[in-house]
Amino acid sequence: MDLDRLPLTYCFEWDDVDERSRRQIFAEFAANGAKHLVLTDGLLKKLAGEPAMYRKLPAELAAAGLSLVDAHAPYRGECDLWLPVAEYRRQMIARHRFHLQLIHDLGVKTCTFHVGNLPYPGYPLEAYRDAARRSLEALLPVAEKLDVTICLENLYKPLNLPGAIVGFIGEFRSEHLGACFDAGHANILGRGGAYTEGTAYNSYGSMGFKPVWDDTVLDQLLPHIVTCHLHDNRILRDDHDLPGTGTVDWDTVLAKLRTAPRLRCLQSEVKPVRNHIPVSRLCAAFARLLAAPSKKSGTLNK
Amino acid sequence: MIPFSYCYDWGVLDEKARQVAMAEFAANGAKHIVLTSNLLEKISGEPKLYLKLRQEARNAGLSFVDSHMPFNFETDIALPVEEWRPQMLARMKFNLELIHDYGVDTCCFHICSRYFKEFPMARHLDAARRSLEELLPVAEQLGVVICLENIFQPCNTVDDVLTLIGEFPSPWLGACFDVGHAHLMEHGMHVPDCIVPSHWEGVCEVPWEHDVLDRMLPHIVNCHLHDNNADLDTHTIPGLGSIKWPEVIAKLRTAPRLKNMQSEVIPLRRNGLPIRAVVESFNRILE
Repeated sequence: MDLDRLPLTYCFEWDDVDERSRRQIFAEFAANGAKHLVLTDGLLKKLAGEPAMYRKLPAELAAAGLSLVDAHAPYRGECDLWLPVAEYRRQMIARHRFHLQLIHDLGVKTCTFHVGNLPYPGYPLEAYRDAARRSLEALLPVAEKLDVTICLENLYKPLNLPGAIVGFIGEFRSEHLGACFDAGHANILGRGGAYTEGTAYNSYGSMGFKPVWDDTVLDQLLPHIVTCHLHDNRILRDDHDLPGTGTVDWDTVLAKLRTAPRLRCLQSEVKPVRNHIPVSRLCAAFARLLAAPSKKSGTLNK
Repeated sequence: MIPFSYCYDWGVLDEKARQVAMAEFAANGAKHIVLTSNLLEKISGEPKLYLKLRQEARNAGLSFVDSHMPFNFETDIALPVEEWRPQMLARMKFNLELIHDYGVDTCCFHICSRYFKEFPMARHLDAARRSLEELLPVAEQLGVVICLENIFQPCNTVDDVLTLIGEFPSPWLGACFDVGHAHLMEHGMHVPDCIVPSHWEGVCEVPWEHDVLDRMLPHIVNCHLHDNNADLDTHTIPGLGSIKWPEVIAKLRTAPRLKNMQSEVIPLRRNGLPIRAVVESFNRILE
């Protein structure tokens, strides 16, 4: 599969961006050749909290000549699929049902979900797993009706590991459930064993586990990958930096992604604001990354 | 005793200012605040607020009584634009869930905040009907009464409210009596520069109303109390307008379904009315 035939979509940290600046940044992406943006969790929260955005956002995007491809559901705490606290679960499910409707209405077909982020002291791992399963049971029929594919993302905490994700996908066997391969997170999980500190250690530690290092994330998820998050890091932290600035083996990642049978889009999950990256540099980096292998070889991984 | 709850323009406050305002209400003797449309929008857009807001209210010694569904354009039950309706219904179902989780059992709905002149009135009211068909089972399941509010705009007249309530005989559907809006519709025709006619331009003649409270009385579940001079919808303190409060309060006390009363004075809209003045004004009229 030619990756450059798949839509490439860009994430941005919209949370603290006002309306004027948002339009300016949309124009900046378009001027640098971008065609698609991600309906990020930040934009979804804005849409949920500001009803007027429901009409405004499509108009702003159309004015810039951009469209939305791929989405990311809000996550952490009150939004976690694995939320085990019975009394909070109904709002979580209703919230995600509402988000799925917004995603559908904005013409987006894929949405990444974290299985879970925040630990809830006192609950065994099985309670989290059961809660995540029940969340998928409640949300998948909605996703099917709206034709949105729920994509579970690999992170470093238990139940966000590739084995658990493949397990959920196998249990439900739905074309509206797949995986979101996160290249940066896979890099941390694959190479973090050489260190005794960093994001993965802290993440596991918060749930009382020791990290389970695994350098086969992409291989395990490959048959199920529907979307992917492309960004780089130097293993210790989840930098979300430009491809080529960290230790991700991009040649291998892209070669394997070309064989992913369900892959529908590519996403830059570089965080430009966090890393002080101009949109022009971001778009140029992805143009280089996705250029023909012969041109690209040796330029990113040193 | 019927609980009394206070509305506030929370939407413009940051977290610190919100906590100060809550403390101010409590210090002046208020026990309850309204889960307003602003707060529901904030909880929808900021998931962390789902737990935090309840804790803030508890810290101030307040609880939530009564709520107001977000309204306008994308959030009206009478929304006649078919492609926007699924998000409206999903939004309202989510908000009903939040309302239930906050321990609130009444929610005021506008039938129609934004009238689409390109569609006939019947189309709006049919859309409202279809929305209620879908929302009432959810409200029933969650134990929240949907209360339709009388407003001075098309599709929100007392006739409209009573017609819809009559079509869905359910304990989970009732009326929200808004005294300020009733005052505008009963007396605005005699007041120069009354805001009401501007809302009916291009639709029909203003169907001025009379005996609004008497007609709504059997169905009133909650109420919005605020004053005006029958010219603008000022949402000011009782006594600063021309509403005859002793008469209103006496009648409301006989409303068979009334579950709570609400101050819908909007302090910040009126150049920053002190919370103390708001609470004292209601203490006076409820004595």
